[in-house]
Amino acid sequence: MRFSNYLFTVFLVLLTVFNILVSLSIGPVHIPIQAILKNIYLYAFNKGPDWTITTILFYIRLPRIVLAVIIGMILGVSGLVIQTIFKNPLGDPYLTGVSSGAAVGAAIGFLVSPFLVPVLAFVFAMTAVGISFLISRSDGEVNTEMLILAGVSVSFLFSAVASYIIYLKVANLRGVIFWLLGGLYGATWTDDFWLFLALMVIFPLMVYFRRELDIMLMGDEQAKSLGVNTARVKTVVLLISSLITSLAVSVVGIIGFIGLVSPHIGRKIVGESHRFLVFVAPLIGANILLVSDTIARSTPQGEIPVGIITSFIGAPVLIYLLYRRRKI
Amino acid sequence: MIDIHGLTVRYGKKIALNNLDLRVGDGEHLILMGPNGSGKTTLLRALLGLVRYDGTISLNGKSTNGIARRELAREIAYVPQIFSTPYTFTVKEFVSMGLYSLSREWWIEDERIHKVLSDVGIDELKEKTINTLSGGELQKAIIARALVQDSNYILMDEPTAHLDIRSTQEVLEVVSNFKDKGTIIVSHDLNALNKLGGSVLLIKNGEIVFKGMKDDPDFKGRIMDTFETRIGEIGGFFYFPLS
Repeated sequence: MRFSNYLFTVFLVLLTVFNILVSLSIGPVHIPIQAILKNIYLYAFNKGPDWTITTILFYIRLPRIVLAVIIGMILGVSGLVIQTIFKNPLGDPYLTGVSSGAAVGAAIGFLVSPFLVPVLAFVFAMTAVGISFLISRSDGEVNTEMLILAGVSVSFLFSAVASYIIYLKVANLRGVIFWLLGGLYGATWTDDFWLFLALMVIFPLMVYFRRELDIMLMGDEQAKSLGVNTARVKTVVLLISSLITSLAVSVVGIIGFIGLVSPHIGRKIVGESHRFLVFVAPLIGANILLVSDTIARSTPQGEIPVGIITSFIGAPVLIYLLYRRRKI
Repeated sequence: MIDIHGLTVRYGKKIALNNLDLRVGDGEHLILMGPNGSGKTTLLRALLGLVRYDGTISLNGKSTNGIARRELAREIAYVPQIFSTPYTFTVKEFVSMGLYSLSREWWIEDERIHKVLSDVGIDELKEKTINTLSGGELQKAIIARALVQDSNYILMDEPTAHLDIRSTQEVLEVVSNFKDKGTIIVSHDLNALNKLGGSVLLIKNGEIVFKGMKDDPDFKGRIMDTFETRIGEIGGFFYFPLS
């Protein structure tokens, strides 16, 4: 059991590398994988690489591919810990109000200046999260049942505001909708750098807390009596995951389903324990987003929002898993 | 030594425990009985720091208020009422959770786990997942998890509730072997009263009405008053008489 879990984790890393290579080769100019590998070799040993290929790969495709991997990992790991803390299989990283808050910020951004979209999306996402947290604090601890309800209520409120602004005020409807459904078209190495830093905050933290997360599945009362400081774990995990998710959303928009479905797929394969799941869920998220984004940027219609593709892939997978579970 | 002084717990306006004083010595065994809603579970929850309370609870002379959870877990372990769980942890993984207060490492292969599993008599179940266990098996796994905590005290909330006759016997057998651990067992089970040694604490409406040995001449009268019913006794064994 444990050995196969190690094996599967390694398999996912290799799958990610393979998908990166495939994705690098796909685009308006088809570059075969051999040519990519050869060019990497020539570049690495200073033997005169093909600069056209290098430019396409390094400045156009790779930043976007790296962003897909990073965002997929962030959403996968956030979704996992949110599902654990809330003990709710429907949990996703946007549960605390991130997405609707970001939508309001983005709508205002499109109204004022497109350059402000990421900043405003982040600020309003954190505002929505902050309101949800304030409502659900009791006895110096986050009450998770309250937080779900607060998150849903706050989401409805912010969605209404976003819809109002978009419906009545925003001229660039197509732009807003594209943003709301999420897309990685604007990826730059700068985005990659900042989001990599964000990933380097959330990922090691969740790896650190995986023992506590396992025990907290048994419920707060048992976790406390076993010695887990549940108040601290909840506060840190929820705040960091909301913060990092808001950051991700502010850059790429609201990409749905990855945070929801990646942990479920992971659980089916490596089991409940966070010992492996904390590595497996983000890697699954990375692969889903990478494949979805590669499809999204190479449809005959041109670029379409990646959120459409992730839902197209994610929903049937989730339905399949539920169907399997029903049969047991 | 656990020293409870003036312990009062309120749920809203309802007073669950009223100005309770109690002392539990090292290695003392205590059976806690009382009608539903009398405050038994609340007393355990207060000892575990799971509810807000007024008054003081001290452990070896040191107040438990504000003590770190892991430190408290090294002193007091808890066997909650049996629960159902959808999670697929193996018995070994589940029991290893009891080691958390000692170390954050996983230690699933630790020899303490194997020793406790065989002490409790579920060694052969160690690779089974907890969602597939019977009630008796799960109850023993929960006890095993509390035992690996290696604490000085262990609190049990109705360890034989929902168990069949044989599982009840087996669980009581395990519990009667806690020699050097201070133990507080909440139980409505007259079998537990018969099988387990130690003193009995009767509480009603949040107040202690009796503390003493079950062979105390007062005991039978007090327990009948407390539960407002008749209880039979033959040679120190208690039973429900047929009317």
